[in-house]
Formats: sequence, C-alpha cells, structure tokens
Amino acid sequence: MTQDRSPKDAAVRERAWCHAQAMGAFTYKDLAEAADISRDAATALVRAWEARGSLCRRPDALGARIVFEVTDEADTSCAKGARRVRAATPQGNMWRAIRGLGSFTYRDVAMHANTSSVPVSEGAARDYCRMLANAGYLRVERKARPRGRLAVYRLVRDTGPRPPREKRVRAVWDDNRGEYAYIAGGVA
Amino acid sequence: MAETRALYNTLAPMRNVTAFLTLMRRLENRGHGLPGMGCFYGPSGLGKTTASVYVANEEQACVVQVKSVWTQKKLCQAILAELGVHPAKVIGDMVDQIAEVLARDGVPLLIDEADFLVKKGMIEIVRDIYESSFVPVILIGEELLPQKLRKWERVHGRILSWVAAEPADDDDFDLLRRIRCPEVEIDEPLLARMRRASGGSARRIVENLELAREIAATRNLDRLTLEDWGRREFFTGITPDARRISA
Repeated sequence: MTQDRSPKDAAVRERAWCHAQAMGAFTYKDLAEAADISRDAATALVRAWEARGSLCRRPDALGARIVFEVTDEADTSCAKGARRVRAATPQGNMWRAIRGLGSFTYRDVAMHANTSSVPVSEGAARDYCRMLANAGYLRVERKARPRGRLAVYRLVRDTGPRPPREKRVRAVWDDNRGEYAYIAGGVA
Repeated sequence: MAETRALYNTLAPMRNVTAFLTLMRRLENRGHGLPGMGCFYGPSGLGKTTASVYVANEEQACVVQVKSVWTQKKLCQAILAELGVHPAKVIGDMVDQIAEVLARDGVPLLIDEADFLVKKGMIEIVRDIYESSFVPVILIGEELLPQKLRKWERVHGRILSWVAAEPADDDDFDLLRRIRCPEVEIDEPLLARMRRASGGSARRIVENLELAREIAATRNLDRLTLEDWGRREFFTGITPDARRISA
C-alpha cells in the first residue's frame, strides 16, 4: 500500500488550494514552490484534486511537463473556508465600521455595517454603541438631546480587530459587602 | 420602526460604493496572469473611507489606515494585528506571515491613506505582500496617488484597474436622504439649496441632512421648508475668508 504523503494539516491543504486557484494553470513544481510544500506532497494533493474533478490536464503540454488547470466546476472551497475563518457577524461589522469611522452616530454605524449578507438594524447599532460607551470603549463627544440630536461617539479604546461582545455571566453577589464576590470566567 | 426600513439603510447603491465593490469583484475574478492590485483615489470628503468600510464589511477584508509616522516594521505589525496574528521579529518574516494568512483565508487587503507609503518609499513592501499572497490588494489615496505611483514601475505595472471616486450625484443624495431623514419630508427648494451647498461631498450631505432632521425633531415638524431652516448656515466645507483687521 502506498503511503499517503498529502499534508495532514487542513490549513496547509487549503492554502495550497488557494495558490492553485490563484495560479490557474500549474505544474507539480509550481505548486510545490508556491505553497512551500514538498514535491511529494504537491503530487499527492494534485492527484486528490484531480480525482475529485477540480483539475484537468492541459492537452497541449510539451514533453514530460504535465500542466494542470483548475476546472470551472471546481468548488471555490478557498473562499468558503475564508468565510468560515472570518465569519461575518453584526458585531464584527459594527466594530469594523466604528474603527474605520473615527467619530460617528449610531446611524452612521448602522449605515456602514448593514451589508447584503449581514443585516444590521439601527436598533442593534444603538444598543451596541451604548454598550461600548458604558464599557469605556467610546467617549461621548456630543451628548444627545431628548428630542432630535443624536449622540456623537468617538472610539477611544481600540483593542484590536475582534469585536467586544456583551456576555451574560453567572456571578455571586454579596449583599453584606455590596460587591460581586465571584464572577464566572474572570473579573470584569 | 427602524427595522421596517432596514431595506433602504444600506450604502450599496451609492455611486462610489458600487464602483469600489466592482473593483473588488474584478480583482477577485481576474484571469490567470493578470495583476491583482487596484487603486481607488480621489479628493477627501467624497466618501472613499466610507466606501472602504462598507466594502470591508461586505467582503470581510483586512483594512489598515496608514499613519504618516509609520515605518515598514510598523506597517507589517499593524497588518498582522488586524489579522490577529502575533508578529515575528524581523520584517522579512512578518511579510511571509502576512502573505500566508491572507492567502490561506483568502482575505483581500485594503490600504487606506496609501499616499504615505509612497512618500516614505514603503510601497514596495505592499508589492512583496501581493506577490507572495496573490490576494486582491487595493490602495486607497488622494487624487494624485496614481501619478505618485508612476515612479514605482514595479508597483504601477501590477495595478489592474484605477478607479476614481466621484462626487455624489442626485441619486446618491436621494439615497442618503432616505437613510438619514426617513421621517421628515423636505421640500424641494430646501433640498436644492442643500444639494448645492454640499457640492457633491457625501460627508457634507450627511451633515446637512442630520441638521435638518434635528431641526424637524426639536420643533416636532414632519415637513421642513426653507423658512424652517431660517438663517442657519449650510455645511459647505468652505473655509472663512481672511478678515481685514487693522493692526
């Protein structure tokens, strides 16, 4: 029985497939160099892809060089995989909008975060902005008036690309001391 | 109430957003052998950043906004932070890290304020990233960015498409009015004044509409006319003239 030499790591396989798609047409050697894997691994991968119908051999190849082409029927698992890794969420979109905009009202956030794949309502944007303001991520630059004027926020604590989320946690409240004695998952 | 209008509350039909999204799709679906970089340029205030934020949300892209003081190392660190990866110590390794994550996850890279990269001679590093990842890379910058890039032939040659940001037209104005002022009816003379004062700048249109909504809400009107606006200034973005002050 022949040993399966294709890379074990799914991420490596996926990356190789992305390179294959980017190149469109390639030889074993091209793939090995582009994806930084061994020739054996590249050969094993190409055979697997060919078996599932994602590749076809280009007929006009010269000599011993076999050129493969990504077929039209090939699934774009590269793009699908990317969606899974960087899944779109309402909070993710709102956080990205907040980080990109500088100063903004909740309506600005809703307008920029509401995309075809992830609907974001103005209500959701308002709640999210309030939550971030309470948590100290946003500073109120101009206060809202009861009728009409919206609060203008500014991002003051940009901690990174992942959106802060509201979580419900179990905690122990001590009435004698007026404080939380224990908060599950760490202290706020 | 807001929920029922969710359908309108998207920027997708805006002229510049559509142009940006089309550029992105072109780069993503380019044929073998075609370059995969793009450039989106135009004067400030036309909604370049707005368009990039929207497109980044639509495509789950990685966006970095370059600052004037950044070095090559800082640029790499910023991109890696955006991708959620702990940076290596050396710039060369960082470029490899960036390329690996971008290619693996198929994440497009948007670089805002790319003028600074040209100014500091750091633009080649973006080409390096593109060459080792082959994901779409879009440079966003001021009106003169294409001219500035001309000096860097290796970068210039890899740009598939140059897209200019356009001033907001009447359709854009109408869309922004529906998003920002849905509950107030604004009569035509006031709209016309607003349109003229905004001068095609999406940012000023939004500021003027927001003021209109505020006036209507504080005075409990559902229809706003030129008289209601009164002697208030419009947001025009014009700086005041120099005063004649005798010393």
